[in-house]
Amino acid sequence: MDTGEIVFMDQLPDILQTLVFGLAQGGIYALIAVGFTIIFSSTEIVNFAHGEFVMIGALVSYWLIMVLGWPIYLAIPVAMAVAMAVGIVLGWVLMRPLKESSPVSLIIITIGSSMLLQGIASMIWGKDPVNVRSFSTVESLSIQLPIMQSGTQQPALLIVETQQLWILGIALVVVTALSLFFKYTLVGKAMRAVAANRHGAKLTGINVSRLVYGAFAMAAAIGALAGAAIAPLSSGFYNMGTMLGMKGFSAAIVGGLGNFPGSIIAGLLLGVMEKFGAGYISSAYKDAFAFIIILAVLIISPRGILAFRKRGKS
Amino acid sequence: MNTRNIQVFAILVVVALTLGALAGCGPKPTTPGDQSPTSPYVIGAVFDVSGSGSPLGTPEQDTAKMMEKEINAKGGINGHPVKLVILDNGSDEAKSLTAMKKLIEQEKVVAIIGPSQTGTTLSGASAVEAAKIPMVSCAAGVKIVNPVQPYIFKTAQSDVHAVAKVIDYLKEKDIKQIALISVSNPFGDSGKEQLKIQAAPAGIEIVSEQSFQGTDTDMTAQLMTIRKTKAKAVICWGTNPGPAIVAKNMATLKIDLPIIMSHGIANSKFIELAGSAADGVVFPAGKLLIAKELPDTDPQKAVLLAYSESYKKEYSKEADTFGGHAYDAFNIVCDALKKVGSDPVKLRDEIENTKNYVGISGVFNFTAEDHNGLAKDAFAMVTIKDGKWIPVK
Amino acid sequence: MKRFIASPLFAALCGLLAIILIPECVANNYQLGVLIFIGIYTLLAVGLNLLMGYAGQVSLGHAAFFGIGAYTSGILTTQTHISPWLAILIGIIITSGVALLVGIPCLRLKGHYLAMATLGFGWIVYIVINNWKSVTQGSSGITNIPNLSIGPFQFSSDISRYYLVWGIVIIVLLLSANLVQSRVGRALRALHRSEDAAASLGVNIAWYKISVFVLSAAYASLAGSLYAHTVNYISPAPFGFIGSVEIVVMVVVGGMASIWGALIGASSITLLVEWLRALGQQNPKFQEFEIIAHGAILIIVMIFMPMGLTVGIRDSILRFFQRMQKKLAVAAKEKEQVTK
Repeated sequence: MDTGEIVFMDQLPDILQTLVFGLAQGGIYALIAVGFTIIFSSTEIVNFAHGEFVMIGALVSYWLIMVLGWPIYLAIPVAMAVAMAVGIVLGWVLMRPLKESSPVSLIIITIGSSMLLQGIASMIWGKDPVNVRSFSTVESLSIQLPIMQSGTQQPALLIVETQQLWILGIALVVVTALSLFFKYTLVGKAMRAVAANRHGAKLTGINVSRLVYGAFAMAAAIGALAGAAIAPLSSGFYNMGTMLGMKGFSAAIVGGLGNFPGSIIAGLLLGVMEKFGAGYISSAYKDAFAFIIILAVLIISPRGILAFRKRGKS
Repeated sequence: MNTRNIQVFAILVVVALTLGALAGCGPKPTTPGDQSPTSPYVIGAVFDVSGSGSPLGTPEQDTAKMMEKEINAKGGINGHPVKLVILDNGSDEAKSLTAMKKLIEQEKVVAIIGPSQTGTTLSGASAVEAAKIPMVSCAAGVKIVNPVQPYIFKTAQSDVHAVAKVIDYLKEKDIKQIALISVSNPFGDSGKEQLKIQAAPAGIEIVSEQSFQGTDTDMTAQLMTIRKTKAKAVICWGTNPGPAIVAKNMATLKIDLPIIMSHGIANSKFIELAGSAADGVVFPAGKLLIAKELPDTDPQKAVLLAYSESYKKEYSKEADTFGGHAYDAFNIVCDALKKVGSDPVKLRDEIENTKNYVGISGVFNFTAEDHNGLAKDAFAMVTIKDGKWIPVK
Repeated sequence: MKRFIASPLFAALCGLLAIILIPECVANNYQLGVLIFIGIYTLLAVGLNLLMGYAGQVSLGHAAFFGIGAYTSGILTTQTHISPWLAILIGIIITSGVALLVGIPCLRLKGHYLAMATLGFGWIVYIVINNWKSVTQGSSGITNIPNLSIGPFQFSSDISRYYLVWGIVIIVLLLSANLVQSRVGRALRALHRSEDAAASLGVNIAWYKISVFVLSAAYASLAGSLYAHTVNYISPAPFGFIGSVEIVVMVVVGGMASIWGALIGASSITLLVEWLRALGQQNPKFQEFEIIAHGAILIIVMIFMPMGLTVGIRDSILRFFQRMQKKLAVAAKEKEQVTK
């Protein structure tokens, strides 16, 4: 073994650990990005209020679990249902001026909705962050790695919080369910048709406006699920959605708007990049680092990271 | 009428509406120089009630309202009732400046208390100076009073003293290497700066400097970097929810180092958020947290107990240090009003003369060079055990 | 005469008259302070309006240019004691340079991808301002930024700042109105409708896009410098993502593709905030509803006036006149019938 390899072996446990935490963070971004993508593909609206679905998920589940003492398996579906209702109302509002308005004025409506929802949330739950308990009673697992911890004779440990496993599991289930939904159900196929060609879809007799409500409901539910899943790790507060929404939006764009696998991969990558940036480059500049990579990706491949695959088809 | 004419017309309509709107929020007919013995003293307040500063601004606003009620129930100041006009600046610097101008110009306030944060205070500083109206800020940043500006004071303890207390603690425990993780906002930056200034003379080395954003949800990467260093203790400087996440992440990563935090976590929210990970965290705090445990000889004890009792009675929740800053600011202004009346220049001189005012954040002694007026004994080191605060012996 | 009334010069003269007269009606520094901010936001909105409304390019990072201008002024005038005017000029040059560097690769992107790139750029600038402590003094900001001055005269009073800012605003508005009417403006509009068509007619798309981007960045830089010299303090806070979104809101609410829309957007959003706060002050219970009302008003305006206030107000005035005309016509007809 040369010295370079020894240094690498020393670093390996930390690298793996960073990767695990990065993937968990990225799982949240991926779930949020998927919501952006669902709404964008059926309406071409970039929904700046999407982060508020995440906030609703976190705070409603906090209220049900911690204040009313509901079991988690009941609380989360209810939180998702609340977000879905809000999503449908938002979709209804956005359909109002659809005729003569530019996409930017719809974006302003979503910004207004975001302020409105934050205001309502701060009235209901206050402005202080709140704590939610983890889904599992065991909070973290330690896995022994077949490598020695550097400088000691003990085996290195890989630590995983059970909540992070939940997040990754949820992301996986959502992705699988969505891809089955889009591939095999009639509604899913119709949604893809609308995304591909709105007018064409209308001509074939697809009820576009009903699909738009469906898209908002689905996106809101997934966003709320993400919110409920991250709240035990990071606490929930009324304006938590702004930052998470922006990260999710970035992932959706980098993945190529409207491209599901793309947004999942981009979300995971964004999370991993942030963690490695913070751990190995500079924690002060970690977000800058992530955005520089995003810019580079966009400039090299202006239609998102998976665009090269599509080139042949179109 | 062609399109362009109408456009010009539309502009004129908007100009007219602007004028109307401005006149609408314009001054009510006041009679300047109304010095009748029962005319109210108008005190202005600007707090960061909404936006990023709301955890600070909300208790400050509540406290100020409570104080107004209390003082008027006692018959006001020398027979003058006190009228408090509170404006929310939305934690925005430009809006904070306009709010101060509004108080000065339209409400004709004699003094301003607040705002809650360093940036929102400093953005209004030059306007307040120009208008020669005393302002007693509730924000922590050293820049507010250094360099001293004649009309600007503050009641929140400066980080200088909090850091001094932390350094004393480290010396006592013989900890020579520390790692620092701070939030990327004025609170964290100012703490970091002070630690860098004060650590070296005390023979303490900062082996790692990490930071996080106020909205970050996970700090494990920074903590793993710290784990690799020779640090013997972790210092975390931030406000909720960041420090709670740091404490939880350290527990998860099984990093078994002493954690020392800042007065930014001196509230029950931190214990609620961090749960069992809060146990063993040591931090400098205003004495409000441990009021009951203080010896009876402590001059602040009575004031602290009275404040936390009346706050709890009024709002049925625990008082916190931020509200205490507003309490002190309000009382300092009122004490000065009692002595010299409402002339802003005399009022400023009197505020600067405040001596031995026993408040929530400490015992204040303002001088021409020191517009914060506190010493490091304004802080006590506190630790958390089983979800309760206890003084460090 | 008719042509004169229809020219931007006439509008500008009207505006000038209004600007001179306004301080006669509003006497106090609070109102002047609000008007100064409206002027600064108008500069920001005009620039972004040229970019969004005429060239059809969305920028979600415009506050970054605002910040670069403000920080160049702030740093140079507190560290080196050069003339603030020179600092403003240097700010504009630096900002334009940055815009050029960012614009060349980014403006190849379209629609939402461009929005994302500008968002990322804005975020990077914000982080650098926050963390480059040796130069920017980090998040606690730069204090004691001097006033602008001409000779011994200091722009320290609100009234003098008001005239200064609005003098600049009028010049910028006039310049922009002329630009829009010129060949360049026509090229930009063509570009907005259809890039391919414009290109086939020989419009150099890339060049026009980049120049508008740089121009709007220069306006933002100018606005930033004025902000620094009127508040005398800057910190990174106003120059983040939320700041960028606020400028977009002003542009869209005012009405895109209209120079005057920028003015209307900046004033209505700024006044809305002040008005809501005044309501909150009179009725403390309303305070909690401020942000909710703000959001709701944005939604309602955009639903009923999706083209923005300028077009919205114009259309409703037009409709009013049409209705009047119709009524008059009906009345005339009725009269005729009666006389018959």
